[in-house]
Amino acid sequence: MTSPGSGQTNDPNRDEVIDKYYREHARELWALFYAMCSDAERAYDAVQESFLRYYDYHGEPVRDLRAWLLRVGQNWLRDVARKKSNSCRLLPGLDDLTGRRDSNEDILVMSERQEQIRTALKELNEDDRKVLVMKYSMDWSAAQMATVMDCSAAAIDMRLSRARRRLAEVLLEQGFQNE
Amino acid sequence: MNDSSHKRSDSKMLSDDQMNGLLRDFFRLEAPTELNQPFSVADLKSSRTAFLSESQSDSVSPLTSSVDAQPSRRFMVSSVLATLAMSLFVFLATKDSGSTSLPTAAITPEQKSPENADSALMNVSGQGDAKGSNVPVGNDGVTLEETEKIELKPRP
Repeated sequence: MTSPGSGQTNDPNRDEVIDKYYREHARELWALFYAMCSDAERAYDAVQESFLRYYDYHGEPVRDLRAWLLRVGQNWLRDVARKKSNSCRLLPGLDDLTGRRDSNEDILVMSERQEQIRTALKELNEDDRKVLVMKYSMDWSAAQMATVMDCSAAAIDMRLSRARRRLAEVLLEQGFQNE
Repeated sequence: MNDSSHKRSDSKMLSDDQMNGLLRDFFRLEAPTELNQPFSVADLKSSRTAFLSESQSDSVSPLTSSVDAQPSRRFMVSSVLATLAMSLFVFLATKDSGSTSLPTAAITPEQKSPENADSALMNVSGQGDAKGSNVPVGNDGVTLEETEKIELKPRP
């Protein structure tokens, strides 16, 4: 995996390298942060925060930038969770739907369904949530997930199937109706 | 009974295909659109600057500044008052010690000795040393020896 290397800001190519790294890995980082917090906005903030911290970083050269960014974002998420700053949260998904031609009723139904699935995902453990996020958000193969999760591809398939079934059970308990 | 209700719940439960579609739609909407936009360090810098200016303006709120200003003003007033009080005390102490120390300084070591003090007290006769018992005291010529013999009795 490519890495911008040291945190020296004097390097003129550093900005470009960080831009490139962001384009390549921001979505993956978001997915992993999302698996940790089950909050799309907060996960995105964690991505931004980790890249901001790296931009201001002037310490020893970073050997594995992905691990470094993950660690920073994870710590930031923990700090935020400790402070429990849940106030002023926008209704999920509405910002993305404002430009669509769907009726208000459709928008409400869709946002309600999103919220139900989000709530159900929180009921799963973090590893189950992680495989679902990597599969359906990143469209990763079992082999790719196995590398990240440090297990075999067969174990990933099994975990994925189990997580999907568990999520379906939770949705059923919630009275979720798929239309 | 239990088997039938279990089967009914299984029939209501979403299939794998349904879950696949559901989760794909969910994450398509869930992921922020900003992630698809190109990221630039210039945006990063501007957002950081805006964030810092916001946090600075938040931290220096009017309430905070007034609360912070009060102790420093109090400290200045109290220090000025303390300085004035100290000056007054030093002035008064100097003045008092000056008035009391002057007579002390006027007494010579000779005057402080007990012998000289006795002689000064016993010098009751204008004609000389009053230690002698034969020296008349006063205008009527009564000597000290005679005055010692006088018996004082209370009046009836």
